[in-house]
Amino acid sequence: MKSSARNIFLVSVLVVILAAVFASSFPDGLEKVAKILGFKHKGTSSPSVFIDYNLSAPFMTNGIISTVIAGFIGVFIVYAVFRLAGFLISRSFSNKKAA
Amino acid sequence: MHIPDGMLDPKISTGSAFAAAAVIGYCIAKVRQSLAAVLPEAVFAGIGGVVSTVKSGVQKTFSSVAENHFARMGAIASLIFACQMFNFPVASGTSGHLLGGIIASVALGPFSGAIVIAAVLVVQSIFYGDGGLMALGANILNMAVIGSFACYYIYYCIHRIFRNPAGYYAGVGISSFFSVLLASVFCAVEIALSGTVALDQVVPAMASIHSVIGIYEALLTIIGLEILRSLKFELNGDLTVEK
Repeated sequence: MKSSARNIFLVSVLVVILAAVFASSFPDGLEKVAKILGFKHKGTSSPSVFIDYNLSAPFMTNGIISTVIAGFIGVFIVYAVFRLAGFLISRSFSNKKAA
Repeated sequence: MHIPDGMLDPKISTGSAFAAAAVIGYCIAKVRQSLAAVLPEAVFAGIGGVVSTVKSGVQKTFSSVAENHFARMGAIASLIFACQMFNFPVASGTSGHLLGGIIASVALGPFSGAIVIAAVLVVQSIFYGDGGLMALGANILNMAVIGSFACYYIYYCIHRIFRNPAGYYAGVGISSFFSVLLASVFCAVEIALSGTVALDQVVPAMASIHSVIGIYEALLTIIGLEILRSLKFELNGDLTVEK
């Protein structure tokens, strides 16, 4: 079972590469509606590390590579968060038992 | 349909944050409970302080069940994060991307599925500026609570009535179409109630665009779940208690 989880992690990495190369840059459904109905200007962008799925680093000039790296980091973060939660929960149950 | 900051008024964003926190909190409690149900002895042993070699063997099984379940959640979360980066063009200069609510809830169960979508939204909001921080509660309410958790039960009812492959595909397709449509309607209503735009303008506009995106969602969800199956990922397999 764990190997299937790893395979899916690898598929996600592949999807990130495909997304970086092929993703459409058209506005999404909400942005489009906001533009048509004239409330797009109300949306403010909040400060964050990887704006628009790009590394905001001066040496990073290639948009695709920048998006791939930003995407890899995200895929890794969400995977790691759950693996850590799993580790902590199974340990918390073991600790209860040992006490 | 990640709402950026500035489109919701504080009342709506706080209200939806509380609603989202209540449901996600309930989901976390249910997952904990179903993990504990895998091994009731472990919990009782914890209370009574009884340690025995037999139980420590069972304990190991429990640890691996728990860690395995979280590895599965992590894998689906990373897949959905990646898929949400992939915008595809839909009608007239608009793009859409997979929401993945039904992929998560059918693959992992409604409780774990909603947690996975919520976690993806949190990471997108904090690190990628995709969806505002103040609007995070509303985005979790729309996409995790409505789009994943609530719409799972559309799938569940259809598949219960038609217990065959056709019922499964119909359930997955119809529920994922509605997961996008209902999430977009919720999103539109929240923005309208904030006084940003008129309700009778934004709801039809959001619903019509997202019913097109919903058709893609239905197809991609069916394909996505087939890919998971082909990778030997058991759909809702480990914790069947989660009903």
